[in-house]
Amino acid sequence: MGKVKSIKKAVALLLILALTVVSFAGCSNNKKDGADDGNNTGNNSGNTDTDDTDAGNDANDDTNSDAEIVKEAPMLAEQVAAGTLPKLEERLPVASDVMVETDIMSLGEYGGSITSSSNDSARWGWGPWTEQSMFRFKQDGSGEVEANVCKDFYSNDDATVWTIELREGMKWSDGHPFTADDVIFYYDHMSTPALNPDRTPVAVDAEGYYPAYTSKPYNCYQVIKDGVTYWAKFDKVDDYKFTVTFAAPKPNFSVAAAVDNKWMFLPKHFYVNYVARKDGVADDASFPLITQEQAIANANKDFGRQWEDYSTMGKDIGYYNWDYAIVPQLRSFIAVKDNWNTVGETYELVRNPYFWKVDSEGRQLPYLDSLKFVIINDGDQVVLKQTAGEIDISTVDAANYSTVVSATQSTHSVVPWVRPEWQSGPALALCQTVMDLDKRALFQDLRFREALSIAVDRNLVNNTLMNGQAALSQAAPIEGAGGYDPEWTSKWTEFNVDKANTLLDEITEPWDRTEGTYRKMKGTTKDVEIVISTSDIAADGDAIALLQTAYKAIGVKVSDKVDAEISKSILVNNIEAKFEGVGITSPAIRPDIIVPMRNFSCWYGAYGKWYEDGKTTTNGGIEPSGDMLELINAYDAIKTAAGANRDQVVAENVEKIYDLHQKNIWIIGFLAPLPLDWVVNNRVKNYPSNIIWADEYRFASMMRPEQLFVTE
Amino acid sequence: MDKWKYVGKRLILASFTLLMISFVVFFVIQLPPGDYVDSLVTDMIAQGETVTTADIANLRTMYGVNRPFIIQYADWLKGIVTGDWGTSFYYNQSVLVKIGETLGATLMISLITLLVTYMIAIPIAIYSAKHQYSIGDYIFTFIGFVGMAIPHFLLAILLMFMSYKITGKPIMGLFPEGGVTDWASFLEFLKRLIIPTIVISLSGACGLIRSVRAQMLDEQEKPYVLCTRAKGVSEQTITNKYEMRAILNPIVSGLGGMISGIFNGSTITAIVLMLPTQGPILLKALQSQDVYLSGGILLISATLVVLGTLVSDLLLAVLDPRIKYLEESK
Repeated sequence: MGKVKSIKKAVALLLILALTVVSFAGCSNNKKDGADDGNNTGNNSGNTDTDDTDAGNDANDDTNSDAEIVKEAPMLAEQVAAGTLPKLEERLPVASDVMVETDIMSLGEYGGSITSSSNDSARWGWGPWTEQSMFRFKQDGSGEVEANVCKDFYSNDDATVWTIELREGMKWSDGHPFTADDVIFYYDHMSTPALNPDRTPVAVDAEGYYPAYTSKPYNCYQVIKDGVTYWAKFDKVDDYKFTVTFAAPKPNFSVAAAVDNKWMFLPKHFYVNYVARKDGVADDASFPLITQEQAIANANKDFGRQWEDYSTMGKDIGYYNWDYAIVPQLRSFIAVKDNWNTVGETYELVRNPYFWKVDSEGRQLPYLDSLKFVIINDGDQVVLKQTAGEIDISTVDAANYSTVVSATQSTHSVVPWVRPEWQSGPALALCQTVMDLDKRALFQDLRFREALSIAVDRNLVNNTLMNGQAALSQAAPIEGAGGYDPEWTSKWTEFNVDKANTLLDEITEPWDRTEGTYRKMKGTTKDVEIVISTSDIAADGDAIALLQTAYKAIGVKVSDKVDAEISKSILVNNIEAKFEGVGITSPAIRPDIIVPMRNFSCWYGAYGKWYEDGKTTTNGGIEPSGDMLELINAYDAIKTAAGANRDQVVAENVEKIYDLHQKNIWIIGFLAPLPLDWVVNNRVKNYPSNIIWADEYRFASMMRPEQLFVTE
Repeated sequence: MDKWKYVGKRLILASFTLLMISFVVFFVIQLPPGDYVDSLVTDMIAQGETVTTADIANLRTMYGVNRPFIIQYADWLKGIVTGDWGTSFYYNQSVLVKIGETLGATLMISLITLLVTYMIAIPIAIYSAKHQYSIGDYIFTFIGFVGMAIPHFLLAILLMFMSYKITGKPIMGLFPEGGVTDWASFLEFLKRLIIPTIVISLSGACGLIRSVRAQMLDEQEKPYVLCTRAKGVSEQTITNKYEMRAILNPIVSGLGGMISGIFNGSTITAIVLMLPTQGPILLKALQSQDVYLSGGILLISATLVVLGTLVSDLLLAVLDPRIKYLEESK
């Protein structure tokens, strides 16, 4: 017994000794590796800078650097080795034309995936993550654009001819070359409606009219000369250069295109099967003439759908082209399967093997193997997943901020972005063209809007809806943004029910303030009532209830109307009011939210239709007057500004637009905007902060997802 | 011969009911104001397209929405019979293809929950009846009532929250990312099956427990049971051999309702739990006024009820001679 014990002891001692030796060895190895890493990094950067001069001096160093700098992702290298993918040099544009991205924070590592979430109709939600524009807005928020898909762009002196140079050797995600033909094909056959020989549009009721294939007649390609609209002409110079010629100066073309039609290209070799050319040319081998029926049949076969009409098919596959994994793209990540509208599934986008950007060390982007979007519709389910830390990148609103942030504080960090918005929480937009004429007169009265603004206890709104996180404010640009004016921020923000009642007494029938009764509109027996439309009563219900209570004290009745298709109600001018926030960087870049130039926002209603229909009332538009017309005049001045003093004209009219809004408060806000808070997993690197989150800047594309990487 | 007459009568009744249902379904889905072309046109205008009255007339002819209701219905019915269920406007896909995408998962969940429902309900009901007013009976009765009273979706949310509290990961969805490819993902799939199975089965099981228990209690005092017991036959044999036959009636006659309950009842649960079943598709179809898709799903659902009732009718006739007797005496 004693012998067995002593043998056990000896074995145990031996084991401990062996373990100690191994662990010491491990330590020293680690140290050595670490030191080597540091040295190599130094060598690498040194070698990159002075590759040519150092070349012959230190053979060992050079071998190291070549071995260290892996220029493509391992998953692609494997495919190259297996012969299923061409070599990197053949996939990238020629060396001088490759786009070299500035490192966001640091150089990245290849591999890994990140998960975010999206709902089942959010093609616009995940789309910008991978989007690549011809010209893109700079990340610094200056509002300037830079070359992205194109290599360079410039105009002649009077800005009538723009020249755009492309990257030689650049390829679509299916390996087919991307050339000027793709841009011109897209413009001529997919983007323009029927045009006359002088490039004026064919009238919709004239013979020979047809709409654009993608159904979008983009403003950025049109100029107005002597009151007539002309469409630009695209001409090919060579495979990698083309010109865009306008009938009148178009100095803002690059910015307008970056907002309007940033994706001004689609793969011709792919789309010729689905586009029925309308110009009658029958002898073009690269674009054979097919009928609309053949185009639909081809699309139904290849896309596995059952389109019945050409226009719907064209819009679906031409405009929403990124919905379909089958369409070759220039995007950084490409879809594997079209399950982005299936709740409960994960929609995955994998790296584009032909992506045409590299980092500062010449390594092909993106770093990540894939982006994953969990498709969830219910907001609470998203919060549950966020709380469990299952989502790497997501935004969190004020109501759920503490829940999510405290639950994930050990794994995630909050990264704030800037929202160029005028408000947080609800902002009440009264439709200025509401159908009921008595109501319209009331809605257009400044005193009515002032009364509505001051009858609300903003503190209560803040504490009820925003956990008290927001400052009290009118809907107005924030400090640092264009148009900021502290007087505007505080305009009509004092809480004064008596004053509101006095204001309303002037413009409604007398009201005895009996509980449960409402004011009557002047000269009528109709209640002063605001019907607030909402598509999501769960989201807006609390805010509507707050206004119901607040406006009861001034005799104004508030009702809600659940309307699943508010944008359609705006189109047919069948809406009274809704919560409508403003978020823009500048009306010169994105006008439609604060200028009635499109049938889009509730607050200006049918005035936008009037402008959109060429300043006519034939299709339901209503002609604006007064300050509303002034807005349009200012916008027209911006649109047509040219020549040496263009910048000044633009600046003056942008200022004028802001002034008109400050004077009229067409949109009544209650709380100042909050930053957009991203909750980002700490393993995700290169995630920039304080970036502007705006549609015109293309939302998530500003984080440059192709440069994100993960460390495990 | 009489048997076949009975079967024939049931079949004729079932097909007549189906025809009526299809008419009502088509009528109801056409009820909202406007038609698909209206929403298509407003969509086109919203996208910046200019639409002329001639375009609208063409679209109406193309989609056939300008034809009389009865013709449209006849066309739809013809399509249903010939296998062309129309095209989903929202997904631009054949309705059958779209339904087929989730049919597998829907049927799987339905069958599993149906099995689990019976496996839970019958033994518990028998136990409760045999041990009436015992602690066990009270516990099961309590659980039964609570299960019937709590809305399924709420129970789903509660279980989802519990899964998060216990495991740190909320269980949502059905298939693990990337599908079931190996043993680990299969286990993950089984794990995700737990909550839907509990939630959907519980609702059916609770009702079934009540009715089977009541039936069993009735049988307990029947003279033939007393007689058998007096003869010294063991209680187990009485239960399994004699009483079980009697309680088959409520089990079988509840089949029709149960199938429809499982199919419809899981709609909201499926939305809450993000299950890839018909539920979320039906919701989307109804929201977007996608008449053919919603019509197709509703028709299947209604057909299941009719079929379930038919099957239970036929089974009852086989199982219970009294029904045959009743039919004959009519």
